[in-house]
Amino acid sequence: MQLRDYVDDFRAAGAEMLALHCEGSVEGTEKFARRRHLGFPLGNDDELNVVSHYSVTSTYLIGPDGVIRARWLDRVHDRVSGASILAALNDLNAEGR
Amino acid sequence: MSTSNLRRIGLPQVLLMVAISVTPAQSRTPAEIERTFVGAAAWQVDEELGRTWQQITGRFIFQSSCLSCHQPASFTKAQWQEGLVDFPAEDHEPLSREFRDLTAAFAYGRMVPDNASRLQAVGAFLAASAPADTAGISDKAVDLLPQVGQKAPDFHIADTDGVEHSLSGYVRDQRALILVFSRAHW
Repeated sequence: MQLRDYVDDFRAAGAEMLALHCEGSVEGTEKFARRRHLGFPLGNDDELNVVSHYSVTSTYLIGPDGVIRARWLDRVHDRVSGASILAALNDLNAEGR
Repeated sequence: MSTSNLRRIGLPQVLLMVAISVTPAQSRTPAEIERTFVGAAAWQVDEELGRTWQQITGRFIFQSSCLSCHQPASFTKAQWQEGLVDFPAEDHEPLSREFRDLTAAFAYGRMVPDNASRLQAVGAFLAASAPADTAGISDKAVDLLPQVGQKAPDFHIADTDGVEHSLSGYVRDQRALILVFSRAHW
């Protein structure tokens, strides 16, 4: 399963997903988004305005308070699974209760 | 590839080679030089330099960590000293007590048109940036990426539908955010 298959689960658990392409053209990213009907927002950050404050091929779970709750520093072909992100999100929600 | 492999693949020799071609100090101050590259992705502007940098360090030129293992990959005191061992002492201007990342040097070099003068420029930058006194500066790598428990850096970016996204917006809406950074093909 890909991350996109978890988008509804993420949303139900109170989280949105935003994906950013950190290289390649704006047009390429737009084409990709059109072709895949992603179901979550995708942006192009080839000017590195955002990723330079974070890191490439990584995933961050940021709480509703703006604090980083989990960080996965992935390898290019070995991304964190949607299940792991969902588990961390559920932990975050359980903490808040 | 981590920085621990740098020695094996001969980075000091590369540095040394660069160092030997150094000319006396450039007229621009490091602060001026820095202002010209801040926020720029040199690997996008100069593919050759970008590729070399990536081969040497395993990371993008703008990054402060290894691309594949995400380990911090800044240059340590030992690496500086090894690379700069043959530098004449008077060329070591005490401009900074910080160890500057080679990113700066390469970013500076990319502004120079031909290879020979680029090498010279990089060398000059290194010479000007090398700390005069390295005592008390730790060789320990530091994890410079945002940490769990820290406030996430705010950002503003538009998605492919033209919708603006900002971290402060998600916070205002009381939504958690899963922020995924990927290279173009995923």
